[in-house]
Amino acid sequence: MSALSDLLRRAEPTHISGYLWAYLDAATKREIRRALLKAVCVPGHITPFASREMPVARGWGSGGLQITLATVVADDVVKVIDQGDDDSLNARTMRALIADCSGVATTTDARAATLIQTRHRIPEDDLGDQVVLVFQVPISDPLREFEQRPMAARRMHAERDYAAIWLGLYEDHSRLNRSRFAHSYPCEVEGGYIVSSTPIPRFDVPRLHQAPFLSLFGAGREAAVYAIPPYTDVVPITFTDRPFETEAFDGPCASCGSTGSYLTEAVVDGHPALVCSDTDRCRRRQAEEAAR
Amino acid sequence: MSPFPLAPDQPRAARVGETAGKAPVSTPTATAAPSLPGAPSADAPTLEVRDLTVRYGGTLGCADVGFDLLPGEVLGIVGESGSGKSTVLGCCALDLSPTSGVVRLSGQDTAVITGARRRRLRYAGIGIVRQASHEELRLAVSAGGNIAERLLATGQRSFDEIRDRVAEVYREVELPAGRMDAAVATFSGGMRQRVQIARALVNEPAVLLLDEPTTGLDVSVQARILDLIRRLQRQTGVAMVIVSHDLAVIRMLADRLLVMRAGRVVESGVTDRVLSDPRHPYTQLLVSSQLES
Repeated sequence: MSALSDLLRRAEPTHISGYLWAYLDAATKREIRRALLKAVCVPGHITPFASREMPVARGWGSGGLQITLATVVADDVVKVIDQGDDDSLNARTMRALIADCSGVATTTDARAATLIQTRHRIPEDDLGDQVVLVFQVPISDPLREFEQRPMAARRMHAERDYAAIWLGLYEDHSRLNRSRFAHSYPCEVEGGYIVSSTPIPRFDVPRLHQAPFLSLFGAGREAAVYAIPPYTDVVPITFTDRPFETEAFDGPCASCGSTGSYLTEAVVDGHPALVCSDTDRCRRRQAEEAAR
Repeated sequence: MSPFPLAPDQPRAARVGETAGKAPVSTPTATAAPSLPGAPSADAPTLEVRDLTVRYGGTLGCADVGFDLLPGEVLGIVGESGSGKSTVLGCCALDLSPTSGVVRLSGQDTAVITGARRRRLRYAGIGIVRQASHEELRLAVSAGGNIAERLLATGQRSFDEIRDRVAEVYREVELPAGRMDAAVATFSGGMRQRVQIARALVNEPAVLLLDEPTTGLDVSVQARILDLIRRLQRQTGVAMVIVSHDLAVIRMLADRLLVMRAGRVVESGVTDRVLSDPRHPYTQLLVSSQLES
């Protein structure tokens, strides 16, 4: 038993058993779930919620963690990744926290998971309709860069006044001949709101379109959630004569030889090389190769 | 070809001011009927203002202001600071809502248009050039971007078409070639006014509103900007309201004139008539206090 779960057990009033199950108290869970329900009902709408103080610093996944802990149920299997990696410090500690205070099973295999908390990536495996993705969001509002007044930005969303975002795109294309967005590419959800496809690379954006899974986005510092329900149109906005482009890579993954995956630079055998950012799938592919 | 396809050989019926000086006009209604208030007209007015009253709490912005602006016509509004000129223009620009009275743009009552439709109407139907360019332009954004914004806001989504159109208008307002992608913050005051003019005209609005467009510029730049405005107005045939405290600007551009004082119109009529034969004591004072040049 970890010190944390022991501490939580001691803090829990004995007459209401299970009150502090999965770290959050019942009232907090209800608050977050209500916000999430609203967010799912209005796809892409940035919904405020009463963000709690979490045992991670704001900006380190407190929003994603709150969604995970508010939605997790006893038979869930949880996977946590950071940059596609299950073993990064942030992913490990949050996975340990979730497992400790809820007792649910964890996995690194995206195909076995029912709840995946992620920053930066959508796992490369085909995800079915039985999984919920929880994204850790740093900046929830795609208008933030262009309109700093929250009230004005809210009105612009309400009126679908997205000229500022298009103007940003115009500036990028006239100066750089391409879009400047490497992540947080603005996407139109179901022909309505424009959301930030937060910090996932452009490579993963097309996977949000008509995805079978539910995507929940949580920004703890900004106290906001938004959602993309299953089978929803998610279209990265771009000019009709400037097609949306995902990242392309020179050559396959240096570890598993995959050609269709998102690669990041890492040191392999003392040399810099491009390898899969989804480490679990890369390891599985290597094992398959070795078995063959 | 003209970059402003809306510029056919526009009949300048309203251009009575050019001859009015030679042949003194006894009453405003005696000449050029279409351009005068209350006169019957075949053309529907682009902008109709009726009994416009704006109160800022206990302070009067303007009271009972009314005029028609016909297609292709240029209306000047003069008056001293605080006379209500900008309040009237603000209502025409849909920035302000009248306390009472009606503003109709192309026949539509603007009071009932709200939210997204109001914004769209403002982007598509009204061009505005303000004295303080930073109120209209995004200084950190390129000149081309500022011009393109109105096209983007009205739903144009082809980058090449937008870019071509922006380049065309950019040339038309005689801005220096090669600086279209430079931030407006690096532009001089006169150049910023040209960017504003290009931005205002890029999607061929029904009406162009100019709020002290040359105030604060040096005299030679002022003259060139006024020339540009006059040329573009003739080329496009856009209806125009120009607010100024400078009678020289009004004399050069406006067909017809409203003189305002303390929120009310004290005199109106054909520009040359009002300026050469002012009736109201305040207009007489205004005309006589002009510096001889």
